[in-house]
Amino acid sequence: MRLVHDLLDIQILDARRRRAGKVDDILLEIRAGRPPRVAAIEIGALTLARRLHPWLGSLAARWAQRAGPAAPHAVRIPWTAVRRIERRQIHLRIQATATPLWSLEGWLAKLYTHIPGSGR
Amino acid sequence: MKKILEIGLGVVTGIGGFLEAGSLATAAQAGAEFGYQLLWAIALGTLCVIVLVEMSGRLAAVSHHTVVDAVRERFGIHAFMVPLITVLLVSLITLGAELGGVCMALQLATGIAFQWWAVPVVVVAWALLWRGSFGLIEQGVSLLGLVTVSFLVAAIRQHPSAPAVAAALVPRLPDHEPARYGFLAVSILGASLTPYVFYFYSSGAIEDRWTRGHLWINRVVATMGMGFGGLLSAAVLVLAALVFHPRGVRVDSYAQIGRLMTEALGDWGFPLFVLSLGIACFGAALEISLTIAYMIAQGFGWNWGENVKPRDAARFSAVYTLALVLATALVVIGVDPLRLTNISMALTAVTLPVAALPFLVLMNDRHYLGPHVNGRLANVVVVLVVVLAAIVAVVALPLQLMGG
Repeated sequence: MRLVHDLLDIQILDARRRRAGKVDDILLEIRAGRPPRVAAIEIGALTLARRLHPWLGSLAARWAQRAGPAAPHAVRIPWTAVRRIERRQIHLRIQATATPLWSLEGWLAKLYTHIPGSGR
Repeated sequence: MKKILEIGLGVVTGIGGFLEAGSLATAAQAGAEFGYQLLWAIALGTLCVIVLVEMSGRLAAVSHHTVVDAVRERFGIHAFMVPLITVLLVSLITLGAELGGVCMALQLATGIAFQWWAVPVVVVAWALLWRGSFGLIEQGVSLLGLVTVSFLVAAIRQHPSAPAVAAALVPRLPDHEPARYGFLAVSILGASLTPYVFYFYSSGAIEDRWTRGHLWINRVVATMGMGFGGLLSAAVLVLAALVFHPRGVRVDSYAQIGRLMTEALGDWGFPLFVLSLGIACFGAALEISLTIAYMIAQGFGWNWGENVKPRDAARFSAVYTLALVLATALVVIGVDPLRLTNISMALTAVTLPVAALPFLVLMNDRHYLGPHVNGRLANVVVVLVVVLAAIVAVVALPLQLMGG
């Protein structure tokens, strides 16, 4: 597998096939005497901002400390949580709702319960 | 039987959804100022949009990726941000223009100034997106959009000369006002090729779970739907060429475009025009709001889908809500809807290469399409039209702005 070509920027689906972000960055583990391996994938606006430009990254980091549920985050999902990669999509073993990946989504969904039709 | 129904529905959607503020206004202006002369631009734009829409349907059916998903994946986040931000900005202005078109139709119907309609219109649009399914939005609005066929009826009743119409399909240099001619040519191309159309279409193909079995349906729907849709734009141009051009009338308001229909259809003309304008722009506004939400959600991998409950695609629903609010502001502060339309169409043309060329590279990548990559003809058509539109836009836009 070519990491940048086949892993970076692809869609992530959680255990219940909910779209849970894109692979915004890849963490490699360097091992003495053996080839490096993928330790985790990183997801979130903070990661994305850092990848776009260091300046944007530090701006997002500052914002992250006081933005509440909308705070940009950088969530690391260990490679052990990946079940399989199929059709350029990563399927996770875990549910995204249990991770910070869902913080803004969950906060909005709760807000929506006050608006008729949010559950149609 | 099911496939035939699917094709019928698809074609109707294409026809009913084709005409919107941009194509209506630019075609009427072109006909009024230059007679049949700019018909070639509609033909070229329609040919190119057929190719682009077919491409986006093929990508979705074969690779199960929307255009946005695939562009981010293939080119990485840096390159992806450029088309994303450009298309988003242009789409927001276009959304303002469409909402303005709906408000203008209501002003023509009631006499109450268009700004006052902005908030009620946007509330109804939002409620439809919030509660409706993808099928309801796409097919419901398009079926109503068939009222725009009245432009074709009106044009035919004015007995256009077939040889003159056919002759105008060959591009020619203008006999007067070359900058204005170039500007209108570009605006027409922009109106036919707004990127939201193919982003929307590929997302729709994913929502409807297309597979390789849909490839031929895709081809028929793209060709016939967009083809007949282009015919409606052409009808508006022909009508304006017959009614306004001989009298030297220039189109500077939507109310004036309404006179075209009164001339051709008598008492029925005005109500039909108001209905066509209102429904066509309303449909486009729904599609653009959805497309903006599709683009952001797909770009960042959020849960999306118009068939998903709002609370299960919370960020996605938040995006179209926000887009509607921002675009409404343009109408409320009283920017003239026709002016907004003209600006958005010209901007679309300038930014077309940014949206279309990465997509074209993708369509030649066997990792995504296997044996279904683009043929040479599709590549040539898209590159030619897109680059032509952008170049003429860069030349004609400053001239038009300085002159006007």
